[in-house]
Amino acid sequence: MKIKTIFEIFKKEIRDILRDKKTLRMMVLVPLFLFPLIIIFMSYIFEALDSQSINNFNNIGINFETNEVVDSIVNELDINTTYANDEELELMLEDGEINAYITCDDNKYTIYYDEASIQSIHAYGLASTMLENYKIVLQDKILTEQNVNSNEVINVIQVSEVNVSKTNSYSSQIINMLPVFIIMAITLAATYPAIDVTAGEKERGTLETLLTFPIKNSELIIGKYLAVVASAVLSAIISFIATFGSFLIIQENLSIYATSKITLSLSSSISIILVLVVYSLFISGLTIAISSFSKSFKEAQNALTPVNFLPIIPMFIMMIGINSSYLISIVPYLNFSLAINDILNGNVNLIFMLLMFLSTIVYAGIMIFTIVKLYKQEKILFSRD
Amino acid sequence: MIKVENVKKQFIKTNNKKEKISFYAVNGISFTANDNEIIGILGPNGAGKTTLLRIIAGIMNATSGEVSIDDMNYKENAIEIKKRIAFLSGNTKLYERISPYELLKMCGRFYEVDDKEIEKRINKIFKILDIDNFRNNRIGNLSTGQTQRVGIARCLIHDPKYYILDEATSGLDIVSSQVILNFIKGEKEKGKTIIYSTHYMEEAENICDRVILMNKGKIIAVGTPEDIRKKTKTKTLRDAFFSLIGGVKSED
Repeated sequence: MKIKTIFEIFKKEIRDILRDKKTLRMMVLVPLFLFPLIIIFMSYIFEALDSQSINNFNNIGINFETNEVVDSIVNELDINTTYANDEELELMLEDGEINAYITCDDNKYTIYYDEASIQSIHAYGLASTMLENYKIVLQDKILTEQNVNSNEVINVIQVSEVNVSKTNSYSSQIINMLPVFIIMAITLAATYPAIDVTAGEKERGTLETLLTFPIKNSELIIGKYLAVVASAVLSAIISFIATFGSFLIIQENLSIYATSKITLSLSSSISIILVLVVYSLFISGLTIAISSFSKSFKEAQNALTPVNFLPIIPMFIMMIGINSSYLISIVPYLNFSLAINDILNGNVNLIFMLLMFLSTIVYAGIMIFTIVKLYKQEKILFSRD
Repeated sequence: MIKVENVKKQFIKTNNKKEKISFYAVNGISFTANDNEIIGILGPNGAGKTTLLRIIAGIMNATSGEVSIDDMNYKENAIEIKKRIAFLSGNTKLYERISPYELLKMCGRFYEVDDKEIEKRINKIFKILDIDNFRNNRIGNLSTGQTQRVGIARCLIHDPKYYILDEATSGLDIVSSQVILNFIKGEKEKGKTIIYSTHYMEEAENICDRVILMNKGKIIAVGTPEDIRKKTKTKTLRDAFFSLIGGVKSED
């Protein structure tokens, strides 16, 4: 295998990639603007949800006449009550005129709310507090009438609530998405060059030209692979700077990040970029291997569409609270996302990182070997004909 | 010398009923192309010309039989053989996003030509083929004729001993075709060997030393154009071809 030939192929592919506007858009514009804009947009949406006024969820319907005690509690909790019958209340909740409603049948109270609506969930909390307070007043009255020290009975145990979460639930969701967005950007950035150097070359008829040269399949594939890796790494760096840069700026301006600010030291930045380089090695092999089977650019794009969604999977798995383990360190996608999260949280596990790196090298090696074998098959090379 | 010995190439295709059918695109072809000779491979579409030339150029492997070039075969000396060959085909396209200069420099390096020598050869080739005035334009922006000249230039950069030209004039206008034909004649004068396929019989008749007529993967006649005309008692290679296959049937 000649390094000079590999370098010549690499140079040719890089020149070709950098002169293709469609590929450049995916490599530079998407990571530079799309994902940072999504982060900014989502942060503002979550900020608005988090800091919404009580007036957005304090409209509660009731089907019973209130007494002085209930009125006083309602005033104290700043609840707007609307009186109507059950059918009307149901329609009003559906139409969004009220956020929840309470029905009363003798001494049985029922709260109706819509779990799909955040405002309704907030209103349910208000309604529960209101009924709980009313229950305590009634219990106090009954016990006092029976000459029992109501305070001792009602407060036989004392319950207090302390929120121990250091992060806001909204901010945690966005922080978990940061690695996913960067990995998605790298995936998109690798996809186009990978298609261009394989199926694109086949479609344009230039692959046959390459095959006439005195170069080995392994030199050809490694040159192409390295060009796709270089594109992915370039995109990774742009994506890292744009995504974390926009996040670091926005976290200073929004209250949802007040308790969950992330800081990026030089060493953690370098560690994250190294993880992204390792991912670039993986995704470049995967995209080239898949697109090698396709006859045309369009066919390869269709074949690679599911790959573009793979980075989302770790986001859902991480929602169920999975932590880094040695087994997970060899599971592609999950390992990359967890590694970045660990670096952000300052919990870098060197063995996890090493296993992730080694397993990726093995996967990339298998993929390159497979592609070299594929390029010996005429049905793959001449499928255009 | 290029020696083709009993070369066969089997393909499998799927018919309308989705049944797999195997067939021989090239079926037992043998011939020798001597040094300083232009050999024309002639035949209609589907005769097996492209497959045969791809096998000779080492792009495709034969199912059986052997191609040897200067007593070397592809199994053992593929890289060395490819250094002696230039393959130009109607199917082989050029990189549209690079310039003729960048293309030739890259090709020269693939053939391990020294950088100084590459520069010298590029200047000479560009002058001969009149490429100088668009040497730094992107190939994608060139006209068909200009692109064809760049294609020829690509073949010349490593000064090959053998040219394998597959339907190189197919689809070209009369001027662009003439550029290719002049190139073939010029290289023959320099002592090069050219194997040249076409379905334009008249074109081959004018420039080939020997022709091989192919039909359905097999050789149906071989010899000088004159010999074949005499044997078939016809006036042109076209008539000779139809005489050899027994006329045109509707199924053909």
